[in-house]
Amino acid sequence: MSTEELVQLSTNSPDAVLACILDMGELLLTNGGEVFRVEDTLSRLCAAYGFQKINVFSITSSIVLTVECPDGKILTQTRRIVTRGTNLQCVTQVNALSRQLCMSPVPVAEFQKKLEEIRKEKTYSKPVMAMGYALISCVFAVFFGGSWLDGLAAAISGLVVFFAQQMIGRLRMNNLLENLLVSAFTALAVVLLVRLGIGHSPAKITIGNIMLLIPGIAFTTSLRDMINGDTISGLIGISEAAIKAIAIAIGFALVLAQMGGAL
Amino acid sequence: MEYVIQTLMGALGSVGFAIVFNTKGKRLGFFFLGGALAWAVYLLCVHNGANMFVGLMFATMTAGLSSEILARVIHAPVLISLVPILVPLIPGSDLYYCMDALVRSDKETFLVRGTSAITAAGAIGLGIICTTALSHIVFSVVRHIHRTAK
Repeated sequence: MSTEELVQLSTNSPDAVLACILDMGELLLTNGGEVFRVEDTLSRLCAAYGFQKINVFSITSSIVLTVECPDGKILTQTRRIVTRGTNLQCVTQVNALSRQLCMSPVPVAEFQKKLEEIRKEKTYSKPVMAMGYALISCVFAVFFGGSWLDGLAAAISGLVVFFAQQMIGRLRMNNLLENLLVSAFTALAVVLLVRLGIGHSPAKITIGNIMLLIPGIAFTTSLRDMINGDTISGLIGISEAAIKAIAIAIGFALVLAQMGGAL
Repeated sequence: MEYVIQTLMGALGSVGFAIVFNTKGKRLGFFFLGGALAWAVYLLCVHNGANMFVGLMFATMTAGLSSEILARVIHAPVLISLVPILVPLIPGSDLYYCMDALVRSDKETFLVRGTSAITAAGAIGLGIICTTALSHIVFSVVRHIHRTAK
């Protein structure tokens, strides 16, 4: 696209272009992209589409984007980010699309189509995901010093974690309560398994399960954000991780206090 | 032998998280190797007298370096490889014992484990920043040489 066409594009439908660019940022943030990646990607895209005086501010829960159009009009759009997960495939695709667009910007309609394609991209099926959960639980129970039998018990209770998350996730309740309930179900499964003679050490089995629940990755990335200078995002991440960890702890404690036996 | 099994388990953990985070194909094999390498470096450091902080930092830098190289092999951002490869280093057991102590109101264990978890996460964070900065410098220099050579 030539420069004149670009200028025309950002003058004719600047709102739509800006909305598409913000969609890219939203996709990155909701799927586990870093805050600095969002800011970097958005400012590059805005520059590619011919906007001037680009100001992007992003924290983990919001994006604010203000630009000046070629005709001098100033535009601002914001996004509130509520749910966040990790889908690395999606981050890869958004990144690839952003590189492609920075080299050769496309009209809004095509931009929207490409975004839709990324949104529709398939994730792993539920059985594969469940196997992933079982695998993680099992290997980490052994990794942190459990026996192979503990690993087996952890794999089974890992499946419980997956299905509990699926069921409770449907109820759409408070995040904290959700984690509390999932942990309680998992603790129940661990206690029952040990009573049935599968697994010796409830602590090791639980650590295997907890690797799935505990915000270890969130905790580590928050620390990285803070060292990197994104202090607000880091603080949000750490507080969220702490609250989640407490919810999980209470969930486990509720069951174990009733059923006896230390964690 | 114990360490070999632990390293293998850690590496499988990397693959497991890569699956849960929706990465596909041959990348999973790279993540297995990366995870194993990161944990092996940690064990090596700790057994040669380094403390946890230094060990984790070196392990993270190894993971970061492998991710920087991998990113250029599989044409995907560094983050894609770094997140799964770092999984074995995450202080999962410290966080677990820390919150267990919190619920049992065992303040001493809570403090010891909590500090340990924060130290570990700090070491990993610092390691990530160091490799990012280092690779940025190296690639700038390479690009500069490339440009002046033309």
